[in-house]
Amino acid sequence: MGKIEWAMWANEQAIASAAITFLGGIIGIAGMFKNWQFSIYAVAAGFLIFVFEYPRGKRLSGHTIERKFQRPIAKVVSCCGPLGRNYYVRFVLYLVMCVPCCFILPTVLGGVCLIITSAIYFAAAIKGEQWVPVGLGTTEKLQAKRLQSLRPPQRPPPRGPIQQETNQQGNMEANRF
Amino acid sequence: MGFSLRQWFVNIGKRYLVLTLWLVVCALLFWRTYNEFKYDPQFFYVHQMLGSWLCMSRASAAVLNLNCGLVLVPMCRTFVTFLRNIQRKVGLGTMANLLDACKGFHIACAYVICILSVIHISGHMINARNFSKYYNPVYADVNGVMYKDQDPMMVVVATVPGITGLIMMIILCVIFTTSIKYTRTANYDLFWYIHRLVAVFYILLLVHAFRGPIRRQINLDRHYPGCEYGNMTIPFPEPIPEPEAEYYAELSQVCDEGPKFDYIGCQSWMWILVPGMLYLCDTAIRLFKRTPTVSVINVNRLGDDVLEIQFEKENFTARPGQFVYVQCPDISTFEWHPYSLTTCPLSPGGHHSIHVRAIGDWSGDLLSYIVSLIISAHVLVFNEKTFHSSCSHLLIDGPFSSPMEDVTKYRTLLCVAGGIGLTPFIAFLNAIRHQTLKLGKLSRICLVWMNRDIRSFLWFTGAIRSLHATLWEERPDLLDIRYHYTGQHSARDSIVADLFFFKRLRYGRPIWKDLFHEFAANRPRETIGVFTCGPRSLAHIMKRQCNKKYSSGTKFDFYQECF
Repeated sequence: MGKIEWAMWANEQAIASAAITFLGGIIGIAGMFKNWQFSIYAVAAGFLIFVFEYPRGKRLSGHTIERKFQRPIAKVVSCCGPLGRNYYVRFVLYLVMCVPCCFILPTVLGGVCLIITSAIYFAAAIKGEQWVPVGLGTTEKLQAKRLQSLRPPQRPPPRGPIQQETNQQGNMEANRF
Repeated sequence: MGFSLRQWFVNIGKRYLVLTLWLVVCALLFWRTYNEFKYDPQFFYVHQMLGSWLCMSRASAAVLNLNCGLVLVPMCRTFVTFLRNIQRKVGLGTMANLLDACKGFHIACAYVICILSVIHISGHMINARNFSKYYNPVYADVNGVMYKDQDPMMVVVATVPGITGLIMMIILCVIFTTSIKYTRTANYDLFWYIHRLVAVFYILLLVHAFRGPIRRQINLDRHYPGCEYGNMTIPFPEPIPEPEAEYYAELSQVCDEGPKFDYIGCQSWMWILVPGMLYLCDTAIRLFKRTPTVSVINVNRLGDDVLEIQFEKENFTARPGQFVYVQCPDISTFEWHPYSLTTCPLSPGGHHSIHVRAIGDWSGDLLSYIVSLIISAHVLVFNEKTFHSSCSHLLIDGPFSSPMEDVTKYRTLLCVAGGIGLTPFIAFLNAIRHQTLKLGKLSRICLVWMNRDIRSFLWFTGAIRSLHATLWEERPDLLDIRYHYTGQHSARDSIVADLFFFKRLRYGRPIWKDLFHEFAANRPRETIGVFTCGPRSLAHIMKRQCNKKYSSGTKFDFYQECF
């Protein structure tokens, strides 16, 4: 198998588990299950996990596609320091958070999915992966880069594309007509 | 110049029409099953206890059964290739269009399975609670729990449907999270291996309804539902449905015996039998076709990262445009990777070839493996990077159909390739060069090849140059090639190439609007085939251009293959 980015999968699994737990909590409350108080916990836990996991971390290699409106939440998560960065923390956190979900029927599936999420985060932590924010504080650099590429032309028209102007003695120029 | 509805329908709309029809069928099945459980006297007592969520859960189960069967059909690649061969003889464009969208239908079915599973499991959770709360003390056999107010969790963990359902939902959740596009494109191996869990899913599905808690009455002739038996009263959690109220009101007579109940039984096997057998047969045929050994005849290294592998395989014939799956057991036992064929001799005894670009783990490992074979074999090499071997180090599965096969049905073609995406078109050019392909009414091929690295153009210059030379005498106007170099130009980027290449080289991406208008102006009222093989963003741009309305009446039919 090639290199697997466990944290990427764990993040998607966490989002799915949060949604399942949230829905299970809603069913527990609306269906007036016994011990429905656990459902209230499930609704709250599902919502919090969803918000916490919403910002995608930077990929190890390749382009990271950010979720819509994730930057403000990414700023908050990156302010948490090691609590947000370290995947061992998430492994323990989800293992603990899934326990109350396993007491009533509607939230059992959410609890089991959270255990799976926790296990995948454990694998990610062992591989040394870390949550790194994406897109925070780099907009200025990009703009500066763009401005630098604009230079006034050196020759009068007719002239080729901008890149050609930098190399007028290359083989390409000599062979092309 | 606006949007052409007709062209949109030809290119994309037919698929949405089929999707809509399929959704209508699912909705009708849902509605029919819902009413069956609502009004059927067999389920009268169960319906009294559980209410409308009984109908919701059973209706969603029926649609789930249908979709679990249908989801397998697009993945029967040999069957789809067979249908494509029939389509070529029959000439139905719609059939080709729909066959090319197989993967999309598989994904649509998968989404419906996920959504309906949520409804199904929600329904059954509420059913479990209702079984517990509205325990029937009169007729104990109809109950799903042992006593009133028993923990509904027991309905799940102590029954076969409960446990199998829970495991199936976990498998579905894990498959879903690895299959969404972002995770799938980043970790294709993980997606592929986790997807094998569907085998467990289907085995559990077959036994899911075994001895379930929902019971149906089997002695309707001796006990009318709702009739008095032994002077007992039954609590009504929900009013009796209106049309049948009179029926039940009339039958308020004393019956001879109490109601007898039985399990509904497993019905999923009826829905997944045919698609399941089709899939198993398809897999068996593929396994059988993989067994003839592949003889690697020649391996050429083109540039830093591209290998041309020429091979020979028994009973293997392919058409230009088709692709194969390749496995190298010495690198990985389970991984199969798709590559378009670049040479397809139609006569037996010819060599087929594929071009493999080393951009991922497996392809990179293949390159290193072949290079190490060259070193270890101590073969006297000539032409600097040529290797001869008659031993088999590769397994080939295929060939399978792709949208690129339809090029010969157009008079004018616009073929757009990005990077290594030129491979299906090279198969056609080679077939034209060796005269194994009938040109038919094809009169002009405009080939646009875009690369980010100038050295990549060297991969196929030989093949293109020799085709041009072959065509120069009789059909000099057949082939129009445009090379587009889209990378950052610098002094280090120089290659040794001939005038033919440099005269056709352009810098930057093509201006698609101008290109399409050029075609529209030169070919009024004609239908032009636009074939794209490259990154998804390129296909998206081409699709948009093809769906526009051109004042000269020219229409563009769009085909794509993405990687």
